[in-house]
Amino acid sequence: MAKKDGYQKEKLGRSQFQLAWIRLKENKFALVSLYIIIAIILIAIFAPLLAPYDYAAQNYDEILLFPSLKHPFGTDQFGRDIFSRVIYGTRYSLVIGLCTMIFSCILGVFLGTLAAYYPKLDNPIMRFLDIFGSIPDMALLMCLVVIMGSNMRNMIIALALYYTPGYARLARAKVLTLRNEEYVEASIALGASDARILLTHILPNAVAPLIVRFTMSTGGSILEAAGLSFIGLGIQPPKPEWGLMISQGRGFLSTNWYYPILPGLCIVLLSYCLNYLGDGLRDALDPRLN
Amino acid sequence: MGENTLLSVEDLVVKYFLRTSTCEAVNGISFTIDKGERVGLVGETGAGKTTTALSILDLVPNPPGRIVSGKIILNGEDVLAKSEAEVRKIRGNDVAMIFQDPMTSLNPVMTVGDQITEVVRLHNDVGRFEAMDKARDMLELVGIPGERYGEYPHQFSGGMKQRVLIAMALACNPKLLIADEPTSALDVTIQAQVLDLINGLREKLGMSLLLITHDLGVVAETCDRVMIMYAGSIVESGTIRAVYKNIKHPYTKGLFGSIPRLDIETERLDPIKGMMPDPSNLPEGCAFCERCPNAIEECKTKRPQLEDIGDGHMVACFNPLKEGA
Repeated sequence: MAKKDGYQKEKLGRSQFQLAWIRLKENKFALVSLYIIIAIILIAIFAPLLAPYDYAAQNYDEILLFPSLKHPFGTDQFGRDIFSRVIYGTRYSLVIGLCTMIFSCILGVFLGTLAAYYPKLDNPIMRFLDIFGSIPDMALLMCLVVIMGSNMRNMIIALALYYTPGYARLARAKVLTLRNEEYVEASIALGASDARILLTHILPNAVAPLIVRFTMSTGGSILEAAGLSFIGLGIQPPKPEWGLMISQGRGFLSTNWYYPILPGLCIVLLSYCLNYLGDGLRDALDPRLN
Repeated sequence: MGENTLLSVEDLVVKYFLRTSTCEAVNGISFTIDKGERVGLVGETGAGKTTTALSILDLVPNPPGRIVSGKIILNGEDVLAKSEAEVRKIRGNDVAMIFQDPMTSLNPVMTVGDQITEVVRLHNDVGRFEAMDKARDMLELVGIPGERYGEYPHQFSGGMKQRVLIAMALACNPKLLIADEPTSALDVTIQAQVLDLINGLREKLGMSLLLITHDLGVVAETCDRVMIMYAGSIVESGTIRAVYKNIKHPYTKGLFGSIPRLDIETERLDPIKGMMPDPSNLPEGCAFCERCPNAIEECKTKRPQLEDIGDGHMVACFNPLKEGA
């Protein structure tokens, strides 16, 4: 009996997450990406400790300085330290990117799964989502933010709604093929309820494309948020959102290239890391690849 | 309906309502299965065997399929009159089903042990570890070492996957096991093993068995009674001995004629000529009429009913074969 318990503990702990973790560790790109993402999260949390200057402090003696030891990323047209602003910007961009994706993913997958699994709901749900898809993206986002009021929370809600149809379509397509799999049929024949079949048999088999979409769209949603901020609906200056910094700095591209490019590189870095991590996760979570 | 009857299907009619036509998959079949009895259901592809089996669990895909009429009485209760939640309690618990293709019948991202555990917990109010113990026991019962609990389906061979599926089906001690062509996707050596396993476990656990197959040899080895199905109807049924020794229906004879035999030297096999009629456009009379060498005038206009010709041997034919034919 003791042996049995030991065996169970070992197998239980290792069967799902630990095995996935072991596989993820073998993928160096994914692992490095994971560390960078953790670092970015830590930077966001400890921004006040890390930033050398106040992100909003203006100093007209030091406008548009080239990067130096005193100002590692240079200064902008108001003499604000870009390095500090990039560090604080982590907070806004990370929250916007991740919250948008998490909310839209949950909502989209929920709706898409319902549409695929219950044929009667298919047309009502998907046609309703098509309405969202038929409106030009900026117009849709502007409407939503203007109606709800312009602040960060409402911007995240608007972006989440904007990204929902994509997830819904993806989830629906995947669930439609999975629900005809024989193991789903077998599970029904053994008396499993709909909820159980969806949660244990269908969704775990559908995660791969969802993870890829999640990681691919996060960078996009940060830029979309920047667009909203640019027209004054979203993060308001002087708050240092990365996308907002790019749009404010693009006029200075020819004379002070570092001003828009350094925040831009931050978005690129975050997107890349999320992509690599997503790729690694997708492989790690698929037991067939080993 | 006797004391000993486990399942009784009465006048079951199942149709698939397609956009342009209506496919009559099962046309008023009736049969019973006693407790502990082994029954074989034989017929060619498209004869309605699987639809019959799915009906017993009220699993006919709807739409397009629908059970139009008939009763399915399990343990004295009508399955078709029950609510979805009540039927779910029957599935897996009273009646379990093994599917044809073991390669695709297991969830690829769950360990086999967890899949058995899931079934145990669906129907029994037990804790996680207790259910896991039971799942390990089931694995060992079907001849797979319990250590392989944490492995994934792709790490198993086809025969072993079929064993896992059997373990899943038997995890809740069902009273009736429906095996839908359990050996069709396996090679011959594994077929025998799996059949022996099913048969041995059936005896051990005292279940009834409904074996669906198109292999008459498998039925002869495994079953007490056989039902021959053609175009949605049972054309001949009876004990193995009665049917195999004294073939009455021309279709059954045709089936036997299509099997090569070791003891008789023949140049060519004698297959049944023609094709099974389109189930969305069945002829008015006997469905086998077109292909039947014994057809008489009556066959073209009237549908024959199953009639007892003694010893529980039933035949649906106006012009059955003579003794020893």
